[in-house]
Amino acid sequence: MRILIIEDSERLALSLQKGLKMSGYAVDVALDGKKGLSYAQLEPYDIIVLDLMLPLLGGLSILRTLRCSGNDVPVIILTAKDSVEDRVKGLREGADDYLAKPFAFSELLARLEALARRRSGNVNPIIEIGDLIIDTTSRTVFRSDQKIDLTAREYALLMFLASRSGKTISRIEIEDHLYGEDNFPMSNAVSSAISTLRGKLRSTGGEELIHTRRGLGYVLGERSS
Amino acid sequence: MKSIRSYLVFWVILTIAGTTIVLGFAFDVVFERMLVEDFDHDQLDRALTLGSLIEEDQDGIAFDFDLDSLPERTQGKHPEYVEVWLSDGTELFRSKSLGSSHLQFPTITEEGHAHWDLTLVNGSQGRAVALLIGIAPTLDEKENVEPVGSEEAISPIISKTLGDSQASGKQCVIALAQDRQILDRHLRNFRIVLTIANLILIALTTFVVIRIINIGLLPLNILSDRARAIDAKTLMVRMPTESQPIEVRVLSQQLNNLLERLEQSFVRERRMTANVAHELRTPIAELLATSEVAERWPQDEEASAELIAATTDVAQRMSRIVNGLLHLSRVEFGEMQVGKTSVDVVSMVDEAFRSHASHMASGKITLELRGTGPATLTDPHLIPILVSNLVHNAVIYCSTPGRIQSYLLSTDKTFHWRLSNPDSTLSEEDLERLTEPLWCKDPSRRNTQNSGLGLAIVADIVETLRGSLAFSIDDGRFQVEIRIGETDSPK
Repeated sequence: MRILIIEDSERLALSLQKGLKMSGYAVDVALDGKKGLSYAQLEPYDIIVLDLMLPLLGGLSILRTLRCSGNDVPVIILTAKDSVEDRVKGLREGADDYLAKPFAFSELLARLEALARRRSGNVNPIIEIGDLIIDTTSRTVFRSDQKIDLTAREYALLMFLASRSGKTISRIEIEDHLYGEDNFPMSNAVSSAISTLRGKLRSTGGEELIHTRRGLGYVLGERSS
Repeated sequence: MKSIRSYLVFWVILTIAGTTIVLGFAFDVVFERMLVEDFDHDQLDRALTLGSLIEEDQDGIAFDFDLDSLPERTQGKHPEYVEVWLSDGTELFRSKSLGSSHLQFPTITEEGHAHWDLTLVNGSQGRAVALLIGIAPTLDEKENVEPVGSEEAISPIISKTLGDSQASGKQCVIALAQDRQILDRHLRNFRIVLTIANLILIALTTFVVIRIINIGLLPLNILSDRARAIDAKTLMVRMPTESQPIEVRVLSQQLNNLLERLEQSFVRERRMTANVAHELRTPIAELLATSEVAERWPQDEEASAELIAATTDVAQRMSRIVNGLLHLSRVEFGEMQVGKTSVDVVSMVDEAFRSHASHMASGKITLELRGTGPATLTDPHLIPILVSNLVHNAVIYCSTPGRIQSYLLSTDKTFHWRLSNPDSTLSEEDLERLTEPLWCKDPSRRNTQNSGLGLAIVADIVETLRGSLAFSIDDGRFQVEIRIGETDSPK
């Protein structure tokens, strides 16, 4: 999942970026409003974390511009303004969630996961694909009742494939959503990550879950069709 | 007395009751005098009638009237008592109603008669009249006596009689006493009526006065109800001034002025609270996020180093804010003692700019510094803070490249300082908020080196030193002008 953080406090933005990256997300940071809007319009982000009081261009203006242009990327507002009027205004302008500063990083993470679930149309925190079970609350994966240990990056890759279960996902899409622009992967990084993930999923037995569509990409599902 | 209503009711009713009582007493005195005079007049007429019956003939003095033959006058409940003396006190006649008693021989005034109160033989209270008359000879002159009927007629009769008596040389004194129960009853009835009338008048007055005062105070009650309903959330409410009595209108206007000031004050306080909250929330959020990341991935050395750096930075920022707020609070509450020492303000300004020399050089900021005049007798602790804050602001907020102008003219008691720098961000609307604690033009508050308290502190210092502070924007230049004491303008 690729996240854009638009936050003028550099320290806060970089801390969030580090934490989210360690959690397996691809994260880009914009420190002012204009840059943030530009990123949001050019890149296919899964979620935007948006501060309201930004230099050059305010957060609400960014939100309004995105919604007016038909961009429906989920936006979570992160701001020091916590009055009811501010929250209502933010949500009415098109935000999907609102989190007032100061906040706990774990809460932000939980809200981001909830937003991602809503976006994928799967509200249930337990995702089941055949005998594969992904508990998004505890970020744990089981297959045939056996726990599979995944790194943050592998988990993020599995989640991305699971969010589009049954659909073919191109290599470029995976690159876009798993790697931020500052961390552009080598050309075989996706293949390597898929290979490792396949191996771990196979380690508990059972049939192949990740299937390759030559020239198109990958599909997560019980059977290759 | 705490209540205006009670105060007015008490004093108005007391005044009216007092006036009524005094008037009642006056009426009583006048009425009693009238009744007594009427009684005395009637009694004098009777005595005069009796006196006209005393004659002197060749056989001596004769009283040609037998009073005792009239039982209705000498007997019954209210008998008359008559005694006649010669002017030397020799008794000539006494009515049987007196029995063995005597009436007091009176002292006759120059008017020829006298009235007095006395206790009658039967023990009741009475009133008597005595009349000095000349004894008329039994001649035809008697026919000249005019009929008695009015008080005015009495004196001629007496003088006539006296004139005659002087001729004969004999005078007698006739005294007539009567029971005064009728007189006292009339007086008593009058007093009862007067008392009842007074009580009714006081009761009516009390009722009317309370009603009038209630009606008069109604606008105040309405005002009071409205004022009571106002709290911090409804400070925008104003008191009605139209269709109000002039006195209440003035009060309403004053209250409205007070509400206006309070509302502004509250808005300022709310903004300051919001600013403080915002000023503190972002660093706290930074600290929390950094510490949680470091805690989740303790093996990440970069995260740990970042946590230490963030902790130090946030602590310093908070320290700046707290120190600034404390400083502001001390100046606002007058806890800073104002001293008087010779302060070289010109050199102080020069030194303050020197401390920013590297920043100015890197930002291509030039300085036009003019300062003349001797050291000024002023506060040695507040002036450095004032100068430091203003110079810091001028340098930090100066558009780069830009030119700062500082003109200062000092005397031994005063100084006038005009400081300006190019600033493209400020507008006229911002000027009135510049001294608001923690106000920041940039909503994102990226400048973490400034707490936003500098100008608020400067404003309070100027107020403490009883000077003046003015901000203006002219052609893209922001200017601060300070006068401490009455000064001439720097050229």
